[in-house]
Amino acid sequence: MKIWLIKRLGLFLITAIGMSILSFLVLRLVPGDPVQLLIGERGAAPEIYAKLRQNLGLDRPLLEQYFLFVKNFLSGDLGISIVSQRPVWQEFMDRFPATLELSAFSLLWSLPLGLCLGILAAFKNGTWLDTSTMSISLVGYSMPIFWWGLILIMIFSVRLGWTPVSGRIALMYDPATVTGFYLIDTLISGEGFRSALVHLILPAFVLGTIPLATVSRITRSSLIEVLGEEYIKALKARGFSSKYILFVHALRNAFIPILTTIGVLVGSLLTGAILTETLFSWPGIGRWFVQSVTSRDYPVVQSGILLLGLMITFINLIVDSLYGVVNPRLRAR
Amino acid sequence: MSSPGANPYVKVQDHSITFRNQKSRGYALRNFSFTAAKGEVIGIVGESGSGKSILGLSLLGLLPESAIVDTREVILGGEKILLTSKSDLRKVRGPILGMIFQDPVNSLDPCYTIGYQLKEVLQRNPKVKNWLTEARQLLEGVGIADGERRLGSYPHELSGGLCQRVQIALALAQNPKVLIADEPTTALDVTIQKQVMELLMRKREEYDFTLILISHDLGLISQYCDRTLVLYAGEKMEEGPAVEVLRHSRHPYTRALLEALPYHDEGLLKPIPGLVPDLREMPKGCVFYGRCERQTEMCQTVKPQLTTDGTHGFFCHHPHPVKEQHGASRV
Repeated sequence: MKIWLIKRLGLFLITAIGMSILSFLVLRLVPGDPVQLLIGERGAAPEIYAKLRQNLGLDRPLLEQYFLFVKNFLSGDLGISIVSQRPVWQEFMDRFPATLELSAFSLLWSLPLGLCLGILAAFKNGTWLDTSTMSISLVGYSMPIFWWGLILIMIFSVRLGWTPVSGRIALMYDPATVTGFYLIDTLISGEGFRSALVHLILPAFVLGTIPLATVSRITRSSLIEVLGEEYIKALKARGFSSKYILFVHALRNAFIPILTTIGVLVGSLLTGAILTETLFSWPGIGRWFVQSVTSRDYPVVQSGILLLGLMITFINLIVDSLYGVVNPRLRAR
Repeated sequence: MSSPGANPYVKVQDHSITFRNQKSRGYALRNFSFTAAKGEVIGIVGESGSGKSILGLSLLGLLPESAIVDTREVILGGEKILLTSKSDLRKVRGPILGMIFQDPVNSLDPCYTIGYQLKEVLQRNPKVKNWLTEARQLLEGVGIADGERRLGSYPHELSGGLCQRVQIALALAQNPKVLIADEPTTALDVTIQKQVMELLMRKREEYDFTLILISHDLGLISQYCDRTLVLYAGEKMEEGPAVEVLRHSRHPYTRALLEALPYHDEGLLKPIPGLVPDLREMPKGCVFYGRCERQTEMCQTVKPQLTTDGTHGFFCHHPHPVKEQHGASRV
């Protein structure tokens, strides 16, 4: 177990170094001069150009730039955003709770539901229930998110007027930040909960669609495979009921691919659901990131890529360590 | 499930299995019957595809839904069983009919320890008070010396032979009246094969269950079984005392099987020409028609009836003569 952990952490470190090099190089590999890109087509006076270059540290050798970047990153200095002139870390922390709330809420309904649907479909394999569940999930899976979101906005926001079109909460409320989750903060401050909730429902629904479809499909296929195994037959021969076998034996054996999928989903949602956040003007990191790229806010992009990459790697590390808990065969390799 | 006293211990009468997805009605098992006494060892031999594995699964109600099982009567452990009744099947699985599968490692759930899987089964048995002592005893009983430690092992940490012992222990945990062993040694090394078979035989004496040994291995059958049934393409070809059937086989199929053994006396190994017929294109008469040395026109159209010659019975129009000593002595 110890060796395993050390190996994993070593792997994590290597990945992190790789990512830092990549995020560092991305902007420097952009054809042309990043400073020129920053200034835009109209150009600027040479003094301003030189100053900007110096500010960004681009006048120093590449290797030195890299080590400075890593050193600053490790000491918590992610740079200053060019657009807002605020520290990147602060900008990030302003937006991250919004993303966290949205993804948590969308996973909260989609993962359990997806699991249940997948189990049901596998258990009733071949019946109309299975076929219809899987057909619907295929539709959900292949639905372009921006289109799906627009349709829902058209129906629920525009036609029916049930939910607001965009934003996180009505402008009149400004809940004091305690947890960063508006749903909880508004409950604490006592007003605006309803507003926060109705703002959240539609984006959370849209964002949960693909996880719902993915999880239900992977659960079904993985379970069906396990249910065909010899030990399932042997358990039946020993007299256990199908339900007992399903929940105690089959599900645990089928859980590795499901866990992997969930890990990937959590990772991709936490790092910002770019389309959904943009569509609903949700003030999360996905939208922030897109804006930073379009406005060439280069410290944000550089540190942001690394930060998000580290988060995904960390989630993968957690998922990896859960494998052994679920399946003893994968322990202590 | 009723249990009048006069029933034989094990009886399967006119047992037929077909599969729904086949257009014409082909039989995976056809009008198959046998009886067995308490503690008897019955061997069922046949090539792959002869329907021998399907028999065990059908008695447990574990065939896929596309299978149609048609039976006149099934008696297991002296009790009449309705294979169509779910509650009957629930009672049968485990305490009445136990089954040991061919692949020992894959027949154990890889996610749980041996101890957990034993506990699970032992807790189904109302007579067991303390599962842990019982589990230790069971493991010891199947020749796993350091049972205490093995309780915490996972199946992948054990060898095939050990896994097969565990599988036997799991079956014995419910004290079955009948035990079906479906090719219990096929996946094991030759040396381990012998150990596992001896273990099964010891346990049969100890627990007094009827053992139904399904195998393609004639040597195994002749060594351990009281009676043998030879199965071909879902139909019974020959049956009788194991030694009789193999030494004085009358049916050309049994004879052909013996001649195909690598350690056969009379020199060259002799394969049976052709393949087991497709279930959908079964010959009208004898199912062995087309591969048989002794076939005549009659065999193609007329189904042979049971003939007995005192010691054993066979289904053949042109059996080998009685007196001819057949060289199966080393089998």
